[in-house]
Amino acid sequence: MRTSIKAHDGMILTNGEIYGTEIFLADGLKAEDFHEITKVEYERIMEEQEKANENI
Amino acid sequence: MTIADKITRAKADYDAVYEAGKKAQYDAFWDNFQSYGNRKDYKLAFSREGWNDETFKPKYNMRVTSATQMFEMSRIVNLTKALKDNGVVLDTSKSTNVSNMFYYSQHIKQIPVIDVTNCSSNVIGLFGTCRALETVEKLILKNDGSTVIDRCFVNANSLRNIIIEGVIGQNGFDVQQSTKLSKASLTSIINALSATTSGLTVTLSKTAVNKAFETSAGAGDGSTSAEWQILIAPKSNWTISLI
Repeated sequence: MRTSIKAHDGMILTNGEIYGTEIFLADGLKAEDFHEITKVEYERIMEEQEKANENI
Repeated sequence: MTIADKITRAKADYDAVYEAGKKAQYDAFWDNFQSYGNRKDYKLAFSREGWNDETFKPKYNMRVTSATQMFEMSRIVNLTKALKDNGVVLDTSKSTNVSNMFYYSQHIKQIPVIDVTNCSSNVIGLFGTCRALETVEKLILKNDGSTVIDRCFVNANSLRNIIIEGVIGQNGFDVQQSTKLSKASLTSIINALSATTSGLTVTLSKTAVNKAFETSAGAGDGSTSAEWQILIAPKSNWTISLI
């Protein structure tokens, strides 16, 4: 069974590169590498990434 | 011959001439537009609002070498049906570029098989912002995992059916906005993930996974189901993120 980590309600898990509410970790990744951010913060980050992608 | 018969005959003749005129116009346009079937470069060919299910009536098969922006911002709804109704084939297997092929085609719902095995590695914007898109019959990738499709389905919020053939092995894959993906589609995506790459993430809609793999109708527990666990077990080299 794959190891998975789940965020609390309303929160998003991230390690700075991967984002999710439930994440099935690949071999080599550790749960302690992840922390929670709010959905608002997540949306802000995604918006910035979107703008950056448009400029490519 | 009675007068009524003559009128009927005259109308039939008129209709025949009218239809012949329409066909002549159709032939004149499409023979030129498709170079009597020899056209290979279809870059921007059917882009913009003037192209819809009424105006898109190709006469010849389209075996394209460039499909860049081919249907960008068009108003075609059912491309699969339109091709079938006109008895023509869209073949992208020799295309070297499909960038933004359907980009911002916000009305399109049905797309047939799209083969990108001959494309340069990045098929950027292929189905980007196709908000009404429900079905892509099949997306054929290279078997060496070099095709980059990570942002191919940005804003494809209505996507339900997509079968992927080939290997996803570069940059990961993100279809988190496709909350209605079917079980067959999700299964296809997971099965297409490269077995040899590392450090990559596939991001899926949690709503889609929980519904598709739910243990009973309405349970919404798909991500904890045995079926889901069995499916993703062989791809432990991938991070699978649900959001």
